[in-house]
Amino acid sequence: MRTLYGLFGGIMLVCLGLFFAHIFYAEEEPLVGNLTAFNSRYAFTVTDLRSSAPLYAVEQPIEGVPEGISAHAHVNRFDVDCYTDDELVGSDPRLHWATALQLFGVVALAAIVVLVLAALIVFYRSAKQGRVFPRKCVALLTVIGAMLVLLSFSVDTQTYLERRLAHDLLAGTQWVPQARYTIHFTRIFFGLTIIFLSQIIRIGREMQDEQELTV
Amino acid sequence: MIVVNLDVMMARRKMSLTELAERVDLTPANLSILKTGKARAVRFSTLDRICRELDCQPADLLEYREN
Repeated sequence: MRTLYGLFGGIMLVCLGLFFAHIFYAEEEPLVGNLTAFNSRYAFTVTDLRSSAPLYAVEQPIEGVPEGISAHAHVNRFDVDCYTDDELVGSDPRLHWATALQLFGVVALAAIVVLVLAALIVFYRSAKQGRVFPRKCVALLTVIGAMLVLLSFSVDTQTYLERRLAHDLLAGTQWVPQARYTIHFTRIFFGLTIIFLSQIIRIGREMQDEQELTV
Repeated sequence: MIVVNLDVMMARRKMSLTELAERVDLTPANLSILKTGKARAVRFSTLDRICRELDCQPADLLEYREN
């Protein structure tokens, strides 16, 4: 059991380390392009945009296919890098809010990882003592579930703000992206399930107390 | 709320917690839970044994008070 916990904890720590390393590395330089080539300062990048135009409006013929065959590549998802000396664009409030939400997301994710590890340790220790429903786990799981729901809304809002900014910048061009607020119900459902589980553990704890304190 | 007057009856009968626990086949810890009012429930069998050993009625041990 200890080996399993150690393995699980080790994997979580490695993933967390890689996640933070990716963030810090990505912040140091722009993903695409060259500062001198564009003669402007790098402002920001918006990723995973979807074209709002019909899928086949942005296409490119593919050359080198066998004779008699015609193939075209269609753009569905794309990233946008913005270079500008205009400080108003680079300091758009939506960009600041998106950055703040991203930071919150990183902190929340790190907190969730720590809380999950703590909950597993509490469960393990409690089970060794013969107590199946530990009291501390109720609070831990409730917080984890609530943070997952908050994280979901935070990520969705951050994505919407970035897409909205890109939409306004690229309006009238061939690459204008969709800018809808999309709610990812899977993450919310997962968070609510954990909150529900914490309530079941709370009821179990009360039943266990009832039994232990019956003389 | 239900108040348990076990300590009063034990004092009247001059019986210690350990002695009473041994007589009613309970652990001192369990009996202490009852004595300090932390118990959530009492089995009739336990109440029966305690009343027999302390020579009293359930009403001598259990009292109802308004919160």
